[in-house]
Amino acid sequence: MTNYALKASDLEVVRGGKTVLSGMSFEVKQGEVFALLGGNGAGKSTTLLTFMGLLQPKGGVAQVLGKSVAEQPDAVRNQIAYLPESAALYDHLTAWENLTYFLSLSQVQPASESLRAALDAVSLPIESRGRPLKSYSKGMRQKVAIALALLRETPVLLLDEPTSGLDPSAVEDFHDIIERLANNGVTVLMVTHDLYGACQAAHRVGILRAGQLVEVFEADADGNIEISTVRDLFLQQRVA
Amino acid sequence: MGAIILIATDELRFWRRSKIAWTVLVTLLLVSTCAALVSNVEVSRRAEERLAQQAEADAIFQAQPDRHPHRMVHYGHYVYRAASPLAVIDSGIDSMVGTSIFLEGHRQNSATFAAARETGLLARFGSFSPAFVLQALAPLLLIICGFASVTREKENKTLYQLIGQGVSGNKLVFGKSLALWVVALLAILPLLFLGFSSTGSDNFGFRQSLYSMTFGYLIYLSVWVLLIVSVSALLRTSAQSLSVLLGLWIVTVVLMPRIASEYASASAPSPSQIETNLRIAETMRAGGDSHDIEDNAFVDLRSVTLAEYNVESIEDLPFNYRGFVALRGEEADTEVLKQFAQERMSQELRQKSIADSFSLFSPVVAIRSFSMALAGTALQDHHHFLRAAEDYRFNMVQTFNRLQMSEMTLAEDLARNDGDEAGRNTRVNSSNWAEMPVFELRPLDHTQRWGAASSSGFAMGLWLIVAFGLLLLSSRQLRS
Repeated sequence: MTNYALKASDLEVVRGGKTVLSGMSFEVKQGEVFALLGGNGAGKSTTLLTFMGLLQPKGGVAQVLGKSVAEQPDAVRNQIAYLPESAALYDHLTAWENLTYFLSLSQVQPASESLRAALDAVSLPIESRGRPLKSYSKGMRQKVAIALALLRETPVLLLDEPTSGLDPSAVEDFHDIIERLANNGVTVLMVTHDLYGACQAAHRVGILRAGQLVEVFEADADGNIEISTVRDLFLQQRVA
Repeated sequence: MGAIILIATDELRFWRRSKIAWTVLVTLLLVSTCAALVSNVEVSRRAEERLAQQAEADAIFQAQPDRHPHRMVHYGHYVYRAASPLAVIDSGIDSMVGTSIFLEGHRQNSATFAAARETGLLARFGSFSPAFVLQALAPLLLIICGFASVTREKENKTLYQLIGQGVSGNKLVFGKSLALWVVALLAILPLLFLGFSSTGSDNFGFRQSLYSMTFGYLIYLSVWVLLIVSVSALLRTSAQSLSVLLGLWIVTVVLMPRIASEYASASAPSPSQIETNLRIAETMRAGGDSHDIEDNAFVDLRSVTLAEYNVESIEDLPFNYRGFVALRGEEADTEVLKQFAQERMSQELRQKSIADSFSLFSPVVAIRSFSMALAGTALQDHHHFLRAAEDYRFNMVQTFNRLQMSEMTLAEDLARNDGDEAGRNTRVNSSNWAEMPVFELRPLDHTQRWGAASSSGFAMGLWLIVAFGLLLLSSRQLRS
């Protein structure tokens, strides 16, 4: 039985002829929130896509709940809810229809109450829920995407820039949701540019640079991560 | 299976809510229905015209006054071919080869050596038939509907979301194909309804041919559906997908049928009409002129006949020897004509076979041949008509020749131009004209039609396998 919900061992991933991840290793324990911080092209989204089995590593192994992603991609995907960078939902469908459609595809049949509760949790205005997503703002779309990820009720959540486009109040709500999920044993791997959000929501924060994990900061006994230290290193890495 | 149906249902919902796709769908249905209605009206009108013209030709023929039988041989007669009930779906080569022919003694009918040639689909752009809509327009509209079916998911990143929900590449492309296939099915429905109504009272297996034809069109449009979704799954952007699919449509639907027929004509050229007529005339001249009983070609016939009837001179024969020469002369002429006709038909079939081999490069070539064969409007149906008309012509001419043999003596016949009285003696009562049977063509049966369509059907089966293989291959690309 593994102690880790997610494990990357010496991952090497090449996209379009360019090495994006190079010898990256880390583990995320069950019920832990791990945030990866990095600049553009650092390999954040690539890390998530590799755990989703959408990219084949050239070297190394990605494991989810002890299963190799490369060997059992379908079994792994059933354990993961993935929130892509831009809320990847259908514009022609309403929030309600998007949720029921995607959940049906993953063979989840939630009750109307659960749907309503998920949309309430992400503070999506009631009056907008019956409108097609093409009339939504970026933040509203992101809220629906978060609701979808929550409704999957999987043991692992992979989040790509989850607070992108959200207003400050919705960001606070989101952090509360993440904390609640972690307390319930859900493992979260999120990648983000948002230094402050990462430090607030995560138990550990890793700094990613040019496809390598250069530093990991852990929360203290009170659950806090020293933002200034992380910021200094993050900025230093970006300049470097 | 559940995920496939869900994806298909959502794709249909997307089209319903998208103005462009909705317009395309409605257009496809409208065009398909209009083609069915227009074709039905047109074929019914032509059928009525043919009936009226045949009745008029029969009436004029039978209204001829008392005449010398050989004058009737040269007066000739028109026969008309009734349209196949499935011509409402596919008029095939009918519009190119015609459906009426003139029959006369010593001459092959007017159609066998006509200058008609196999033409490409391009030439049929003017004929607004259900077959044309399904063969050429339906694929185009399916392309407009489906070119972005998978690229849209890539461009909007919803592909990740779908894969994240456990949807495999196979399920995605099967679902998209199923939705597009439903559209194809809608396009075929008017054809089925039209075919049902037009084959209501048939007894030549046309209903069976309709089922086979419908199945063939389902395969054909399925090939397009699979190709469209495959290309959409293989390429990164909708623009690339649209360009490739439009290119494919132009090559396979517009260019390839034209190239096929041009290549067939060039590879197995038919002699020109003038050249053929000269060769026929030359061969027939060698066989003698049956109008002239003194022609050297009939010397042997005379001696054999005299010996057979044990008489000294042709005047002693129990029939008019001049009519007998005409009878035997027509037999010889008809042999020559049949030989040339068979040559010509074999040449046309060779051309068709070469053109049909392009089925391997274009599914349109395959379905066109398949559809015409089952509709009863293909080359073999035309040849069947020509043979039946030739048999009818031969029997008609020989009936008159027998009248010439039996209704007058040789002396009367030879003196027919010596004044009115002599002329009257060689005239046959006009009631004989009404004794001529009416020309009735029994169409080929379903088995014969299916036999002619089977090779094209096989080619379409190959296309389906290739397209399905491409779809499976493309689904493996849907990882990132």
